[in-house]
Amino acid sequence: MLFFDIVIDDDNVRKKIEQIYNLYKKLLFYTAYSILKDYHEAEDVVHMAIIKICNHLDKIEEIECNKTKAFLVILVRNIAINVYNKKRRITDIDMERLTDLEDENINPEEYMLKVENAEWIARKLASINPEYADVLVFRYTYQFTIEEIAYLLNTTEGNVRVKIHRARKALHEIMKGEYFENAE
Amino acid sequence: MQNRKQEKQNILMSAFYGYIGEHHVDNICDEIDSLKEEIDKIEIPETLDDWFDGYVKNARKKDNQKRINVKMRSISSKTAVILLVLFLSFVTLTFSVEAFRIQLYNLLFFDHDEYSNIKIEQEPAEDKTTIKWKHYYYPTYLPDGFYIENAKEIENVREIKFFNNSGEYILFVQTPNGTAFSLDTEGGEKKEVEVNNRKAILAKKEGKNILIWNNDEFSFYLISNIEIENLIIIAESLEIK
Repeated sequence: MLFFDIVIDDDNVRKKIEQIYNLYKKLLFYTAYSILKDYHEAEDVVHMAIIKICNHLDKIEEIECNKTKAFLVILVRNIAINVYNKKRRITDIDMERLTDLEDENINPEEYMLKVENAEWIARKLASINPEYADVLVFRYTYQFTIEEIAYLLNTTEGNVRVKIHRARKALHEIMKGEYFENAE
Repeated sequence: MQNRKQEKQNILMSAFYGYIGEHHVDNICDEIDSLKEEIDKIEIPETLDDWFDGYVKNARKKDNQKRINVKMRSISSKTAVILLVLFLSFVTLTFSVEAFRIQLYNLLFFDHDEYSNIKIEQEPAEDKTTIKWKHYYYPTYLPDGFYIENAKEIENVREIKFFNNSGEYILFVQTPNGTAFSLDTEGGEKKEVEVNNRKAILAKKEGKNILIWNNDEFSFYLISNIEIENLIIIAESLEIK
């Protein structure tokens, strides 16, 4: 049995988590199971996700919307990937030297001209590594701090930083045209 | 200037990443929609629902416990304030009203192994070995070596305490007839004796001898760890002063 580390301290909060669970339990379980292919492990991952969601319920404003749905899928998917990697003893991430990407080579104006292809860019980034796209969403779309992301994804702050760094690097490569040539 | 430019660029790039993220969110939702049938078909283990119910129930229990604790804390702090007010009122009354003070001092006695020693802490500067009362009884006989250690009057109760250097003591109390006083003689020996041809009660308990008698005017008692015979001689030797 997983460790209960949360006090759901009022009726409204309790109702909110019950609504989320009832509406998305199949989606959560499906997402975890599709990665782990094991009922028990998938169940454990859903437990972990629910506990983590309870700690960040304030970030969920509307229950039935795309943003919440995607947040839950990203959360469960990443916890499941971590469980999968640990089980197969795949080391998380080699810490590499984080070269600063606030680099001189970036030309934001040029990037802005390409935003009409944002959907394709997002898809391309996810195809390189879905974790990169997920961590980027948590950081810049949901505005979680590094510490919060580390807690939500069951990893260290160092790993989160490396993932964000790599995600941005991959995105810049996409933007520079290495992948753009093949767009549509 | 360079930093400022960098800062602006970072803000712009953060917005850009956020925007790409929004599309990633939409892409995920599209993917979920395309898998809707498959997701709806999946069987959820019953144990998952059980776990969730237990989790919520446990949270509710903790919540109730938390509420009770908060309530208890609030009640106990109010109780503490009330007790403090009562205590302060008691202290004020004790030190400002003589009757209360006397009641309190009556409680301040020390129970030794062999005897009960009443010790009054009031007005320490006063000489307590000199008797300044008028119209009181005093024993003309005292065994050798006894001296007045303390004499005091509380309301109409007059007490004289005698000691000697061997640790023996005599407590002599006189009070107008009609004053009630109780002595703990439970489990002790009691018998009737005579003092100046009047009936007296002699009690013996835990090494203490207690003699109680009266005359037309006063009631007396003697408490001591000396011999009974000596106590009776002392009782018979009273003289009015």
